[in-house]
Amino acid sequence: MIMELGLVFAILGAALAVVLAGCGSAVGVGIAGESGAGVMTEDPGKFGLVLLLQALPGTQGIYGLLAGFFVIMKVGLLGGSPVHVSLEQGLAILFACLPIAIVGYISGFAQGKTSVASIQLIAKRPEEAGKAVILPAMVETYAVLALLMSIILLNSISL
Amino acid sequence: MAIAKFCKLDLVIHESVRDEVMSDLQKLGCCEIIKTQSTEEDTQQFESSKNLDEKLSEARFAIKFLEPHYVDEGNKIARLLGNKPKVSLREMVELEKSLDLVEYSTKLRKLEKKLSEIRAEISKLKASEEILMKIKDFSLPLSLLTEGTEYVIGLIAVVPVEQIGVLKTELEESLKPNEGEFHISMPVEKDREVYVIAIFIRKKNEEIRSIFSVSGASIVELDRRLSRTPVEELSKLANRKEELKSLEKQFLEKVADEAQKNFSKVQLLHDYYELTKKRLEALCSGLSTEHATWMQMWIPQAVMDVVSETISRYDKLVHMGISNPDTGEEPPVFLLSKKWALPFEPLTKLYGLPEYDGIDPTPFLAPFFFLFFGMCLGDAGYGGIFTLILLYAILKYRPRRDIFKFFALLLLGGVSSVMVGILTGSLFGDMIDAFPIFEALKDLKNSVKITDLMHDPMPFLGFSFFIGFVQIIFGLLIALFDNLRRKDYIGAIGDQGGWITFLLGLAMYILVRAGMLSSVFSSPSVILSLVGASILIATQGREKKNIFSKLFSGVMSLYNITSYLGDVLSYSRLLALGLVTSVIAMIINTLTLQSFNIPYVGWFLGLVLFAGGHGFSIAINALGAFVHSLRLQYVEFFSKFYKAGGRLFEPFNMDAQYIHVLEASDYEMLIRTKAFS
Repeated sequence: MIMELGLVFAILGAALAVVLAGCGSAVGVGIAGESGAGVMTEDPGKFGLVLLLQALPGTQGIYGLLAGFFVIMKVGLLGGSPVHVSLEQGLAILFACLPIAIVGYISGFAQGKTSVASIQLIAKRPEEAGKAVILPAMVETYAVLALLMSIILLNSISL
Repeated sequence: MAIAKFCKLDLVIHESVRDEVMSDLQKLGCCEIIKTQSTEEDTQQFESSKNLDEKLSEARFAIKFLEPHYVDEGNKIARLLGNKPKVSLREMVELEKSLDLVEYSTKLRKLEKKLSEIRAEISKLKASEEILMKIKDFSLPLSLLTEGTEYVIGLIAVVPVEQIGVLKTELEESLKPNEGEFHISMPVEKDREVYVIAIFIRKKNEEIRSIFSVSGASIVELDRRLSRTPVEELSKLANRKEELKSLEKQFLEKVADEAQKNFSKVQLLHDYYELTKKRLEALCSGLSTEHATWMQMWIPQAVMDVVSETISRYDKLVHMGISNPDTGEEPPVFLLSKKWALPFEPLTKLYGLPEYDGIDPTPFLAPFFFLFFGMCLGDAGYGGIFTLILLYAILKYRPRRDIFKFFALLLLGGVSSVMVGILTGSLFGDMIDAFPIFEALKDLKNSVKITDLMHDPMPFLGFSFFIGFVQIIFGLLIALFDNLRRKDYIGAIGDQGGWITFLLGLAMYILVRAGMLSSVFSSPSVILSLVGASILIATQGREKKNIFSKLFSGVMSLYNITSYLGDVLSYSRLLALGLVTSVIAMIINTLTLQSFNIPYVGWFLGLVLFAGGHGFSIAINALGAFVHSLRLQYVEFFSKFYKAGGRLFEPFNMDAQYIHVLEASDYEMLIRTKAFS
């Protein structure tokens, strides 16, 4: 099979979505985990809550993966025959992936930092767990919006 | 009546019935004691408080000591969820008499001391063993090193590897062949230090020791009891260690035995003392003279008759006065939701309780949260499994109070997801379409489906915006009625009325322009918007002094439209999260189908992938659905009308850490049944 340039760009888009959003989440979950481990040295009983807060910045990675899968299903690389993708279409797919790729990277990191702060909050005041969960979720809004835009754009590109 | 009304109760209790009255109030559990004393007075003024703190701390010690050795035969999860063993007060008192906790914990302390002694000796043995292993080749008795003979003495030291050369030459120089000898053990791989043994005539003692210390060696003080050769000593040590280990095991068995026998009793006593202490502290918040105590407490109006009936039994020994809260006083807040809104109470508490004279947002947020959770999770299969898990948890563990409410809330979320899933044709994502075996269900699924997120997300997005707009207008309406209730008419008409008209007009205008509303509404929408805008311009600068800044502030206030726009757009997350669920499910189904093609093990891999993948997806999507539905309530909805700042009702009751007192009435149930009857 000779790869068309369009297909190559589509794959680049999928890869960027998964890689950047995944990196953002990895950093976010990582720093939240460090902070959580510190809190648990004092009180291992907070494991459940800490885990919950650590998991929150992990969604960007999933959103990236989601966009990536969306692309490869669209171009028929997964479970189907590859469809013809012109150069313009390929580029369009690449651009459609950018919102979740870039916003996923930055918001994953930012959400991780907020999670760290929230973990510190529950270390001192475990009764405020509800509020602690809401703060990182505020950051996630922008990843959700970016994902929404990526998916709507991908949906609107007809092959 | 969403927030319970409270009265203030004044009690003057005669000393002869003081304990009984307090005990009765504690059993009722629906009074919150008001601290009438500014400073914490010593609880020692009451005789019964003697040794209470000591007993409590002994109980804590015993629990901490026995807990790791206790094998819990009951249901741990149920206990964690607030389902504690039921014990009557009489049982507690009897146990208190039969088991002297101070004596018992002394016994435990002895066991603890013995155990730690054994462990200390074992670790000391291990240290000696380590040294002996290094100098195993030394064939003379060790007493030569520790005590020496009349003419000869020796020493053993640890030397850094890099110092060996220097030490060796110095020792060779100093010790003539007939004056002594030394032995350096060979360093093994990564050893940074080696053992050196030297034996020499006594008069050289000072000199050799200084050679060692100059070359950076540290001389090891061997245990004096080691007298034979290292090999012999090693076997002796091993024997002793065995002995100690079996001794330790014996003691551990003893402790485990104690734990099995008495752990729950100790917990019970702990709670008994804790409850007694609570009672004393309550008494101390009142003012006592020699013969009487004066106390004040908050009591929900609904249960006033129950309380006064209890008190009236004491006839003239207790005087009672009831009054309404004065202005400036802040009674505690107890939410009284109707049954259908009860599961949503924890959400309000999470944000912060309303003020005593404020509005309880629980019934207002309930239908929205229910719908939003369903839209975010949005899958009949996921919702079904989620519902079943929670139903099982509730029936099996029977959680109480807020935990029960929370579980019920999630259960409702599951039900809502099933409904949304059916309407969007989503059952484990596109399972019915993806797997050929479900061919037969396809028509059924398609016949009830009204929209499809994957193929045409726009209607769902439109609905998300619409429901968001509805919630925001609803929030403004609540604020409007609240302002009317407080007789702030300008605020009601200007702040909320202006925005509601303006927003409704704009929304209508947008719909007309988009062709979704007949053009008949064109001019009414423009008029409505203009009326709204003029109200805003006229009222929003009302705090400014001169006419120009009034006008300027009024016009500038229109800029706030962006925040309303942002609020409505924020509801697009309902679609996004719904899509996330569908897409993740679709990916899992696709991968499952692909793995079915693998020869021989494919079906197994496929099933594992299907179960594990969807399990993960349920967990992650349910978390997202909960957090984001909640955020829409807190940020978009509450900001329109709600102000937290109330103080949680903390009744003086018999809630204990490990047990549930049989005689205690459940104050929540009591207040609720009284209030709604």
